[in-house]
Amino acid sequence: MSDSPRDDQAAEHANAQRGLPSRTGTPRWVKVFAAVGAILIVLLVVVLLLTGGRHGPARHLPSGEGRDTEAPKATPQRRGPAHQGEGHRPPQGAH
Amino acid sequence: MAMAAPVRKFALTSHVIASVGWLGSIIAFLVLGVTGLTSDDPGLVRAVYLVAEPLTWFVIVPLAGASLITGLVQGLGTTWGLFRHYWVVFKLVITVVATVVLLIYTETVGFFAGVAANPAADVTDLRAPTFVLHAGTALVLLSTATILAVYKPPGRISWPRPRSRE
Repeated sequence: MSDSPRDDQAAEHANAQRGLPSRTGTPRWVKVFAAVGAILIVLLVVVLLLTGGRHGPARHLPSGEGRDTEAPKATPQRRGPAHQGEGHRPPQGAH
Repeated sequence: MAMAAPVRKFALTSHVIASVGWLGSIIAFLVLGVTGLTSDDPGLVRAVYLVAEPLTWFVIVPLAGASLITGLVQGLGTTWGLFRHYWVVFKLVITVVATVVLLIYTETVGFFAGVAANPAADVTDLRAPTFVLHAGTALVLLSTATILAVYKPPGRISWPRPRSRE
C-alpha cells in the first residue's frame, strides 16, 4: 500500500482527457474475481451437501472416509477441543 | 485517521513481513504435506505430521493474525481505506476467509498429530491429501492477495451518497 490512491484518480483523469472511457463503473477484473469467487462458493456448498455436511479430521483419513462414526485403525492420543463439535465427531474407540 | 509518515512506513513494513511470512509458512506446510504423502519412510511420515502442529500454532496462525491486524491498520490508517477500493476489499475478504479456515483446520492438524504420536497407529492412516489440498488452496489465495497488493488494480467503489436534508 505504498502507492497513493491519487495514482488511481490521476489515471482516471488522464483517461477523461484523452477521451477514453471512464473507469468509474465496475472494472472487468472485479467482475471476473466476483464470478470466480461465486463459482468456488457454489462448488464448496455442493461438496458439503454431497458429503452430508461432514467435514472433519476423521473424514480426511484414507481408511476413515465415509465412516466417521466407526472405529478407526489408529487411536489418536491428542485432539483439539473443538473436535467434540457437531460434524467433527471423533471416531468411536478413540479414547 | 491518517498515520504520520514514519508510523505508516513501520505499519507497512510489519504488514509485508507478516503477509509474506504467512505465504512462506504455507509453502513450508505444503512441503510437509507432500513429504507425508509421498515418503516411503514411516518415521519421516510421522515426523511430518508431528511437526505440522507446532508449525501451525506457533508460525502460521500468529502470522495470519498479524497479517489481518496489520492489514486492518493499513486500511484504516491510510487514505486507501477498507471499503473504498475493490482490490482492498478483495484482499480483506481473502485474508479473513483464509484466517477463519485456518483456525478451523487446526483441529485437523491436531488430529493428525495425535495419530502420528501413537506408535500403534497405522502410518497409512496418515497418507491423506488433506494437507496438500488445504495448503495448495491457501497458497493460491495468499498469492492472489499478494498480487492484488502489488498491482493495486484500479477501481473505486462508488457508495451511494447520503442525501442532504434541505
